[in-house]
Amino acid sequence: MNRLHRYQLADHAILILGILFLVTPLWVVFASSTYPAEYLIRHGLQVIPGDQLVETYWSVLTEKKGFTEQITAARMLLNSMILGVGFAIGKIAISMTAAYAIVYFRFPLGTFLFWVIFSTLLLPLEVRIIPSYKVVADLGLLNSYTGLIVPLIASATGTFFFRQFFRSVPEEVLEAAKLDGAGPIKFFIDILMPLSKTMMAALFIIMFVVGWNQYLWPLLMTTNDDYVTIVYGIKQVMQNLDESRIPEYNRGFALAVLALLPPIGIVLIFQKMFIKGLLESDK
Amino acid sequence: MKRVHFGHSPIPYVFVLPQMLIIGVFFLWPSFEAFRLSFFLEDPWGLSNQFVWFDNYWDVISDENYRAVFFSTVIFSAVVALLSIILALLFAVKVDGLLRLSSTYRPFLTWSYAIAPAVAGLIARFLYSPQIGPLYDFLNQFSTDTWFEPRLDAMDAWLVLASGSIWKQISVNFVFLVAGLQAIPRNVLEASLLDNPNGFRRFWSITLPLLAPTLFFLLVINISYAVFETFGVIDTVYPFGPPSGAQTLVYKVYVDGFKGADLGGSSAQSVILMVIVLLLTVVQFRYIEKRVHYT
Amino acid sequence: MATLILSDICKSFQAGSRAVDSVSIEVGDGEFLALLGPSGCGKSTLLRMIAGLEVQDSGSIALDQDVLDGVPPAKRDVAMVFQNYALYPHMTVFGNMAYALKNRKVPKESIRQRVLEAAELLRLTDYLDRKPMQLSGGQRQRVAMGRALVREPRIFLFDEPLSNLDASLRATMRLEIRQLQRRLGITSVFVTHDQIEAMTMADRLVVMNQGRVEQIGTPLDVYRNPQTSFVAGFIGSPAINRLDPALIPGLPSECVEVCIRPEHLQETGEVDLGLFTIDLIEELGSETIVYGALSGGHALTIRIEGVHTKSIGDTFNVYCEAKDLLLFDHAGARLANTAS
Repeated sequence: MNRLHRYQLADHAILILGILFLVTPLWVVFASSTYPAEYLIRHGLQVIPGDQLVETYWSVLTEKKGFTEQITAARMLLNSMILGVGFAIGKIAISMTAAYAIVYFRFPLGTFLFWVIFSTLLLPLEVRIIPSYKVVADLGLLNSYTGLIVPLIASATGTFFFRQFFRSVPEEVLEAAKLDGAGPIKFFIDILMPLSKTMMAALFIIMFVVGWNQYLWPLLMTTNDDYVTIVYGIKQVMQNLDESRIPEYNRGFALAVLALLPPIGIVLIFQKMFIKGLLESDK
Repeated sequence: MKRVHFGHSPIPYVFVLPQMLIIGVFFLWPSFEAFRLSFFLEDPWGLSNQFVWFDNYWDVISDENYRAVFFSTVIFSAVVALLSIILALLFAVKVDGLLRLSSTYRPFLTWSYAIAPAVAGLIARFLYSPQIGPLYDFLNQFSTDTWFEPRLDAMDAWLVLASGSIWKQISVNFVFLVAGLQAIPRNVLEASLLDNPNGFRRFWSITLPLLAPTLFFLLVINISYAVFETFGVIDTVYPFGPPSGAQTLVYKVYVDGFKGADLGGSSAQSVILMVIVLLLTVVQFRYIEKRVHYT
Repeated sequence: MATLILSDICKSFQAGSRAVDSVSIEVGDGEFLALLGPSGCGKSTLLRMIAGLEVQDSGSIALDQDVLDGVPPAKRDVAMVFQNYALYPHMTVFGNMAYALKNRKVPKESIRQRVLEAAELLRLTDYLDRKPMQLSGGQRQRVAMGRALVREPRIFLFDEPLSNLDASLRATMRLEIRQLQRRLGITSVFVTHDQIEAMTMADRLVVMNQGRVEQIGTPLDVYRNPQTSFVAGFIGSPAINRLDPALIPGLPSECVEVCIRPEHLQETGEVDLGLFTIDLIEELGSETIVYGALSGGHALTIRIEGVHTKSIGDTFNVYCEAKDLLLFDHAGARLANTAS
């Protein structure tokens, strides 16, 4: 075998090790979720899937018992879906319109508003959680989808994403539209929105995953089990595991797998669009 | 900026209004509140409120525990950011070198973007669990006593938290680095192939400098990830709180404010954190970015 | 159809420098006028002011009896073809051409008919359902034309519409645009920095430099009788020869520059310019371009019809006719040639 091939073999080996590093933990969690809790306590985590797949997942999805006494995993999935979709759509809607105003109009407050929006990039929600909690509580929005979603939309990443994209649209398109008799609203609806279709889809995928994966904010916002998202549900698993006599590891693992499936599915199915969105949205 | 614009009209105001409303209510107001509360001492029942000037700040800064958390956050963030970038860079370079097969590997290295920090925490916790965790057993098999005990020992806890945080973050860096590598003009690499026979030197003197903008950008988002988003990892690995010494600044803001009901102190910490983020941003753009070659 | 009158148009983007400086032009009904000049000379700005995409600082634009000042672009009855075509990428060819009419609330049946007519004229009928991405450069160019055409405008504006095409397609489109314009008789203003385009297409040219009009005239008139030193140098390829007046005796004292076209230099004639040595020969088949220098070191270009018998290093005496000399004063303005 010549030198070139030997180098390539080493490259493949490194990549396969990398993939194992990323995949193995998740696989172990999945495989272990298909065993009864007692078996796991006696024999530890498993690599080969067992025979309790349907039983475990069915019970997690439909029964209000064990650590989740008030809510089924199906309901948590629904809440997460509402958070992910609501967050993504809300963010796209407000950031697209704001970016449109900033890029296509020169107005007295424009620069000032731009800097206000920009400042939100510097200070993530985490540094102001307690006052944010107070504000939402004062507005009576605790335990509501509005309170869950809207404060998360406040940051400007989406606005910058669309600002960047709108600036890449050739100026002549606006000029041609002006000559063709399109006003600001018509231009936005007839030209800019259809042009942004793939951008919107790409941002939707990213934002859905970001929204779905929110943890700290749902944790603060939710005191009523009806609004528990699946990612937050994991915290409850953890607390209950430490307290119960026979920790239901299998149900905990099943919950983790359920929490991961939708975002991973979306990322893998729309891989190209996801990568495009990721690369554009953070610049 | 665009040269061509629409003329004067109320439309831009209508279009920015939704975002400005949300920013006003859920960003500016809370930020201002954090600032205001940081000057007050509130009793735990919220009955009395006393203006105490900078006492809260003074208490925070002179608190040895706070300073310890500050330094461990700095080290933790640096380790998480650097290791996840370096590992991702290794994979990205290898994938980029394999041209034809690169698309086979890519999805396997990309999917983990979708893992929530909280889920990464859950998985890390089980893998290192004394009851069922294979890694717990593995790390303890070399000695007779249990020298690896992440539930009690802060260093061990940091190991668990860092490995979970890095595991989740590699794919983001991977996606950006693959894109960054592909953006390097092929003919520049071909020219360097003629100039320099040593593969590593070539990577060090040509590829890496051309990749600098991407690396710089990744450094910024990875530090921000390690400081802020790892809250989810910590809180799921340790639902009842990590061993003392294994907290980050964000975790401490949360614990002091919610669990300890020390609103003034927690707000002062928030404001200090805001100032640190602002300073970091300025430093990053002022000093680091200058040394980066943009192609 | 229409007559376009620009009177005393001024426009500045930054204080102190004028992008367009007191320009007055009249474009006759059905005329094809080319605005020619180097980049940054203000020709595009002038065109955009006619379209209403920019507003002039002072001066007035009128189309027939209608003063256009303050009228928004869509109400001016002008159509524009852009350099990069500016087609709407998400609309079909039909959608692109119909958009302006839809915005004007033209009835559907009438839109359809007008788009089909225009498509027929531009040989686009088979492509009406395609998106711009699926078209070749020349086809996109024709869609851009079609979009302008269906609006039945009083005036056509072209902003360097051919510069994104390759050389052979550019020559074809030049011809097509000219034939179409002549057939429809629509008044047209065409901006270009390419003198071949301007010379071959235009009824009259306007040569612009630094925001000012240098000369207006028919292509041949501008070529033969440049009124300024800039025009003499800008028009013509290979470029005109600029000579030191000291080489030629008997010139008026205010003359600081003498120009002569490469085809006017010969081996016989009234005026002897001195001994010339050949450095380089370009043989183009129908003509030959000879580069070299006079014995004083003064570089010259000579154009010879057909094939020649010279080779590099040859020397000979160069002559010209006195009437072919173009004289300019220190401000670059043309002086009467007293030698002729």
